[in-house]
Amino acid sequence: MMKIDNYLEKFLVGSTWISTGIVTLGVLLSHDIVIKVGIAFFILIPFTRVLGLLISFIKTKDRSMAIVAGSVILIILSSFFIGLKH
Amino acid sequence: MNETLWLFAVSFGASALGGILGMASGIFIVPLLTIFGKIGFQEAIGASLISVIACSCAGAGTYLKARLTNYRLAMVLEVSTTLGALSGVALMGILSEKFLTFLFSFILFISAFQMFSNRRELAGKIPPHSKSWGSRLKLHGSYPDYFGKENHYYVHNLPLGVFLMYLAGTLSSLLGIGSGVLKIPAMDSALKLPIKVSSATSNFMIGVTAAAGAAAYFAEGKIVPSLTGPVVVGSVFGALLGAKVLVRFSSNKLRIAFIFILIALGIQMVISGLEKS
Repeated sequence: MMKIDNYLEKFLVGSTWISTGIVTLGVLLSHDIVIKVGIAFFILIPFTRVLGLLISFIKTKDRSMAIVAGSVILIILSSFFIGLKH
Repeated sequence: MNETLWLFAVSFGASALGGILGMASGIFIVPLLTIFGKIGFQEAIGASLISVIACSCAGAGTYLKARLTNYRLAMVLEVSTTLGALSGVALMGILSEKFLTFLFSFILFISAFQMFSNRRELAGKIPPHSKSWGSRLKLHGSYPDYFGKENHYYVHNLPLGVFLMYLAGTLSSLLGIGSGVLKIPAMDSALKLPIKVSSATSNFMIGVTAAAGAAAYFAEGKIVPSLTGPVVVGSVFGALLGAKVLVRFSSNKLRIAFIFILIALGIQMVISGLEKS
């Protein structure tokens, strides 16, 4: 459990700084595409975090939690595709 | 450039002040952008949702390091918060901007009331039945105290918590907020978690909930880069400053000041809602 805590902490902090760096660069250059890439990175951080936990649940054969994590991923993906259809 | 600086300054200030009191910035950013910046409600919500993700991810590290986050519980509750967020996205096209403005002002008043009444420790020390959902999904946990001693806690009333989280998720994507206003009572009172654990777990979940709403807004093209960029950068740096100040200062006087700010913003939102008719 502690190992996962450590991985999650490093991933969340590191990816937040990378995304913030990209958005800052976009703001400084007044470049909308660069800002959009940074925003997409921000949306992907929680998604990737859930994906990482799904993999760890599958590895530890925690079936019920793997189903729970898989459901969260499906709901986020549905939200994206619902947005695309509008 | 002036507009970019204004957006950065507003978000920096909102996040720094929110961070001092351990609140998400969305509850300040949306009213400030719509009332003073004359920015459209949906554009403000889109920008706020991204800033909520950024602040949640930036803040989660500290809680994970302290082993306060119950990520198994967070994952279970995220099913309902993300479903709620999806419902919020669907409702967005149905509900009028006037209704949403009034709903936001109501949330501001509730937040002011919550800030006025201190949180009480309601953590349950008695383990629930072995067939309870919390036991079946192995959601009970422990966290180390100041001296490194493990404090065990139990998760109670999971179905009620799941229902309240669904409402919190709906509010999050409808209003562009972290929905701590519903998550905190749900975790403290319904699930009976220790305050530290509920704050950490709530913060951990906020990012995923906001991402579910933001994904739809992003795909729809409702997230405006020139608006969201400065808001996100200001929010991240503001939240970092706020968290540092939080450690050093007693926040009691600031808390009272914030209650007045929340009430003033709530009244301003009511006026703005009335003007929309």
